[in-house]
Amino acid sequence: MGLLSIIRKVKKKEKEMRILMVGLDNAGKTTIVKRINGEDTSGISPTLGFNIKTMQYKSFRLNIWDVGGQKTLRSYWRNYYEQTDGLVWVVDSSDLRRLDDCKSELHNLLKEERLSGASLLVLANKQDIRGALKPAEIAKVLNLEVMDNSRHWQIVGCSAVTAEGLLFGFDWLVSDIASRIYVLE
Amino acid sequence: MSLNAALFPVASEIKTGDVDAMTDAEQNQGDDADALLQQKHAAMLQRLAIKEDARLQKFAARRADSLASVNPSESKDRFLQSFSEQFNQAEKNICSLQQKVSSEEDKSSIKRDLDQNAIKVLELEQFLAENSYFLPAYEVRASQSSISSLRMKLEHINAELVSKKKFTFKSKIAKNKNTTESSTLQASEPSQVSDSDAGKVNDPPYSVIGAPDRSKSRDDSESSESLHSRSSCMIRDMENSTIVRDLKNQEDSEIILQNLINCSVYIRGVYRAMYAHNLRGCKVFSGPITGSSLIEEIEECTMMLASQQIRIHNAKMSDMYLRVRSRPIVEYTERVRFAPYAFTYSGIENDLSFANLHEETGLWEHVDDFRWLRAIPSPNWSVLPEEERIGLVDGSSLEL
Repeated sequence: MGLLSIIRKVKKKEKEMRILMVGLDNAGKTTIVKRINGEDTSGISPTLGFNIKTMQYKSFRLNIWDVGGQKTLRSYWRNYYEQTDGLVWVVDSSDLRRLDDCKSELHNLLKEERLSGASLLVLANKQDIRGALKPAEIAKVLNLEVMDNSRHWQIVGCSAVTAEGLLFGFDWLVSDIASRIYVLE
Repeated sequence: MSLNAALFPVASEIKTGDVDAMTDAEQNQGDDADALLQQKHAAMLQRLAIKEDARLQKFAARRADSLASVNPSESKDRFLQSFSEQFNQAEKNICSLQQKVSSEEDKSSIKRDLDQNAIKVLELEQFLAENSYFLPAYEVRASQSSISSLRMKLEHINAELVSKKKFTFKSKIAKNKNTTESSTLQASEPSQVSDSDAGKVNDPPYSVIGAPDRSKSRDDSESSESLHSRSSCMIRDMENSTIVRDLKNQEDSEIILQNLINCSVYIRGVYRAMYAHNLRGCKVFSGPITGSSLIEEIEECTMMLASQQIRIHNAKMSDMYLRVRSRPIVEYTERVRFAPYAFTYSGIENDLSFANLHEETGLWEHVDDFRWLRAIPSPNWSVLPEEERIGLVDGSSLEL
């Protein structure tokens, strides 16, 4: 019975995680959050500012920060980096033209020191659209393999409309974060 | 016994000593006061004794409680035993699956088995994560690497199953990392991942989970095309043309309009998403869109859209006739005017109700300008005066 075990116990009781959702506008961030929370997804306006959603996921409390992705808002993203446990980067898989934009914004984000410890889940959204790129192709275009040695990451194809893939993605993220912060501290 | 309990009697002795000293010094104060004082003193001692008893009881209860909660569920050995049972089971399943794949059995049943196994592995991982707070770091790392080796095997099988021409990484570093991580396991089970298998798929360092059913057929027909030409309906690089499209059973497709000059585009039918980029002097009339529309870099255009969401970026001198289920937004726009949707063709009612856009929401005039976050109205957009609107556009009679 040492201090360490007491700290672990306290951590276990809290079981809180802070998750930051970012990505270009029109990627479907807000729709994803509402979908996993079981809310109505019609009539969602483009996010002006941000939304916070707290939900119970398995035995954890997730604080999900869903930040607007419009060009005008991207410079404010950095105000939300502090103490982020998990990063969710949402990609519109059918917006081929802006994939370059998407790549450079993502790599800018990953340079950020305050996010260096965060697990990264890339959601290749809109897989229900016929022309959508598959997750493997998105991974290649975004050059995700460069992070193999520096970060825990995963790409998952999903659809906010059908909810396909969402659960798998968040399962991975939550268990990855759990295995980091509730063990190694 | 705790420090407090040992100190306690001393504290009460000091108190009584104080009282004695006081009574010696001030004897002429009278017996009444003295008796009162002693009564008070006794009462206090009693109170303190009761408190001490309660404290001791609480202490014992808490101790029993913590003994009960620590032992059964947080034992390392128990975890290891249960983990290795589950792990062996999962590994056996995956190995038999691997044999099935190489003997070319029915694909759909293998796929089902594969999914089940993936769930097993996930459960194992969760089991580890939930128990990780009391495990030593070494055990956690060893268990994690065992799980990742299982996951790699699943990926091998999946890769073999889905298609041979799945794209591969040439990431040597990643491969090395994976093999070192799983070395603890491979030392004891050397025959599980054969080298030839590893070479074939190059060990993607992550698992890619997509929409498996549709992806297979699409792969076959379009694998050689470039990324940009596989969209279901792309209209691009045209001048002075009239383009008419009838969409039948294409509710899951998107329309892409790109680099058009002085064109008229009529789209009849319902579809999933609209991407328009770089249009000049164009007129676009579209049936309902069940998802979102993204309009970028348009100039002197007229667009009629019904959509769940509409985003307009870098637009100049254009008129937008919209029906939307949420507030349309503009960013970097100048002189863009808004009016209600007024497009029709035979059968549009069905399409509109399919897209949940059969009712006028009135949101077409509630535009958010992301470059203008003040209370006064944005100067970048306005409502199109009624007398300047083009009226109902009927696309029924247009030929393809």
